[in-house]
Amino acid sequence: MVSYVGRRTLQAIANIVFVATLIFVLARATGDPVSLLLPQSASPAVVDQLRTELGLDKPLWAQFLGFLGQIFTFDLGHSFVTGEPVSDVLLTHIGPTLALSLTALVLAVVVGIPLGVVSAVRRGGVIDAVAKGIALLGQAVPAFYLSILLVLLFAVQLPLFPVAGRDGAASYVLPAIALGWPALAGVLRLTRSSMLDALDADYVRMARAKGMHPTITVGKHALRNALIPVVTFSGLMLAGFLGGAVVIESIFNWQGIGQLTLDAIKVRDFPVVQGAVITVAIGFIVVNLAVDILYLVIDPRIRYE
Amino acid sequence: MVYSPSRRDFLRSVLSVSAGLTVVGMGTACSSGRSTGSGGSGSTGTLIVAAPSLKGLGQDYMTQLVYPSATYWDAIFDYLVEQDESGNYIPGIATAWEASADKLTWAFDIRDGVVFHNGDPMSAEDVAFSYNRLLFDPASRHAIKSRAEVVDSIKVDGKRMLLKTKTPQADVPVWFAQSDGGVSGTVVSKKYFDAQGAAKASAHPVGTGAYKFVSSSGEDSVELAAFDDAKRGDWQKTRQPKYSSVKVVAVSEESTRVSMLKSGQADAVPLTVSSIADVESAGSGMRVVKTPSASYAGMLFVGYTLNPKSPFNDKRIRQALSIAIDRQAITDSVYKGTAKPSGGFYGGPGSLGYPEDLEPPAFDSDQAKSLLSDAGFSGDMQILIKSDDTDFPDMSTLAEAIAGYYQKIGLSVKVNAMDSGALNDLQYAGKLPGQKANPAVSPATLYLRGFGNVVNVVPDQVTGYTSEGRPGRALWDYPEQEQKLKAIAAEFDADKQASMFADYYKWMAEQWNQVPLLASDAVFGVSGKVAKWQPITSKPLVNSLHTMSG
Repeated sequence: MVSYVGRRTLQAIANIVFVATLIFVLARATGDPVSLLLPQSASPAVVDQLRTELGLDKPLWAQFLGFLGQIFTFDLGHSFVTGEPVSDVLLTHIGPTLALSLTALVLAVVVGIPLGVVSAVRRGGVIDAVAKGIALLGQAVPAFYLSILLVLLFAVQLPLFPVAGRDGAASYVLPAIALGWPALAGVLRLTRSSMLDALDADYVRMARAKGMHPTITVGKHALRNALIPVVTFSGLMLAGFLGGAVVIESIFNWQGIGQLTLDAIKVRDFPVVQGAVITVAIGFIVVNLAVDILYLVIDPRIRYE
Repeated sequence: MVYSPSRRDFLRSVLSVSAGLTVVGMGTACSSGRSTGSGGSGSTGTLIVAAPSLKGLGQDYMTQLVYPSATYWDAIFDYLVEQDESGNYIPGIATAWEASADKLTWAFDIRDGVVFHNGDPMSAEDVAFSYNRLLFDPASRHAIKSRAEVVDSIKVDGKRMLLKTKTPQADVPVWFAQSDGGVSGTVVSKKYFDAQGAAKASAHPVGTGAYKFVSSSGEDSVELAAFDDAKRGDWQKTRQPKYSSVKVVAVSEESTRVSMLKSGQADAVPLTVSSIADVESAGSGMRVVKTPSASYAGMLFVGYTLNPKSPFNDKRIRQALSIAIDRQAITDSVYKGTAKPSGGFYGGPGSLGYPEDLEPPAFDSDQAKSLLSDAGFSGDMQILIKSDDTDFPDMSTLAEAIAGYYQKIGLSVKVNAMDSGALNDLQYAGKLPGQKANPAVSPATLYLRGFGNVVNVVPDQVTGYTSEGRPGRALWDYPEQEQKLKAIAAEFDADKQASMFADYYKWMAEQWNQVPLLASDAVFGVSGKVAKWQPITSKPLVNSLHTMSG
């Protein structure tokens, strides 16, 4: 196990260097930030001065090495625009994104897994039909459209929740549903199909034949075996939320890391873009590692040699 | 007895737990949601304004490359020179200003009796401190710092601030005015900065404006309270705040701002044309407020006078490309009355020297065809419209509409809508077709761009388009135009300067040097809590909060 985690850590470092290279090149492919940061009337001297101040006058390889050094010393430099340390900016924005992502994931898991189980156990029944409808809507309706519908229905027509912002538990409800519904749909469908496979398995039939209590049969034997793909999916969803919730963050005015990255891209704030992408990449790697370790808990037969 | 539920019981229990969790969650959320709603716009005396961004909130504005949102900044601070609701410059912290006979020193008379929110009196020392920071502090990244090279010193002489320049500078009052130069005219307290340090003084700003800072939450929101202290000076008392508190929240998405307005969670929001009908039909006292001339759209002839073979060197072609466009039809169909045809390229009502009698070019496609024919146009001229995406609403639709009119007079047109940054890069590198580094004659390129309405555009025009600017990025090279601009920029008499600029507008129109298109309104949605409001014309953000009342 220890050697496995060690190997994965080395792989993670290689992945981070790869992502760092990619984002460094792609950010610079968008153009010169100075042309956006200064007014059109800025004189050549002012342009040159800013370029020097931002380190953009150095050769690309020197900028890249500096960036790599920053990653591994946890100092991501300063925002081109505001001059704030990027680590401070990221810390301010990662909290709201994490809170929203975890709420959405909890919603997806807490509703998706039981509904998937029930749907499988009562296959072909009313609950199964309702569950499949929920899953279909979740996967078919685009997040931005769902968000706008939720706002119009539950914040404007029925003023139950705030339209936007992050102020108290109520402000989590609509964005969490908008973000979590597609994930819920995935969890539900995956749980249902895995449960159907498990319920047809020999060991479940044997348990039933032995007269084992249905709750134990379904909850302990079938569900536990059916959970592995669901855990993998949920982990990927959580990691995806970290960087991919930009539409939801924008509509619900959630000052998270997705919104931050989008704003930074618009003004070519390279340090913030790079820092945000690296942070999300690290989040992805950590979540994947956590999922792999979670397999051991769910299924003791799994061993990492 | 052993409890032995059936499968039905198990399923029922699973469903019950799920339903219970959902109900508890919804219930908690609902109660919290009501509380949030009533705590916001429901509270009497609280005004909630949604601004597109509060970038840089809490940071030292001197170190920013973006300006703080005027929505809250103008409420907290006052400027050396301010604007009336028509956009004209009026005395602010300075009651009067004049240049010395040698034109090398500007003297500003500083207003008496003004007090900061913390009770400290404001003096000429504070004003000089504020501008010395921006111009000479090594940490300053403010755009106005580029003027430092022509400034000799900023000093105090009794109740006057003296700004001495190395060469005559006619536009010094503009540097510290409310609109031009962003927030460069802001007056902060020297004593407060010295005591707190720049970081703390910026995190909790103290100004002299109608509302005082209370708190902020990251870059999400800022809360203000009415500054109605009895110690306020007479001038400050003329701007009596009508709400006991104001909350400004950052909401980047327009549909969200509109939803907030409709649900009572915001009282004033900036809008675009797409949301007007939605707000007008919402009822409950909601209404749309428009102020004219927030931004302008026009087209530049790339390569005109710069490239001897440019087709734009023929005046008939320039005229044809201007009169081929039905500006009124575009205004009616695309902008639904929130824009109007414009005859001036740079500014409009409220901007320096704008001649109110300057008519937009009259639409005449037959004459346009005839002019092209007279110019020997053979039908093989390709037109490329390069359009950016900033400073004017819905630029891509505007570009397509113009292309349609050009096709009607027999031109072959392509539209290339680009991100403004990418287009800037091309222009700055001189690589737009027709520029120095890309002297292509075909496609003949028109650069469609938007401009924010700035009161005094002369300095920008001089640095942006004459040999004073960056030569490599020039779009044209026209000595007569350059001389006229420089002469206007060098004029110290404001009235004379305005008159010269009016003549310049007319000369530009006669020469067909550019293609003026449209002037767009600034559009806002306000709730029933805002019965009165006098926004400054041409400002696209919610402004002049002290003029709002229920």
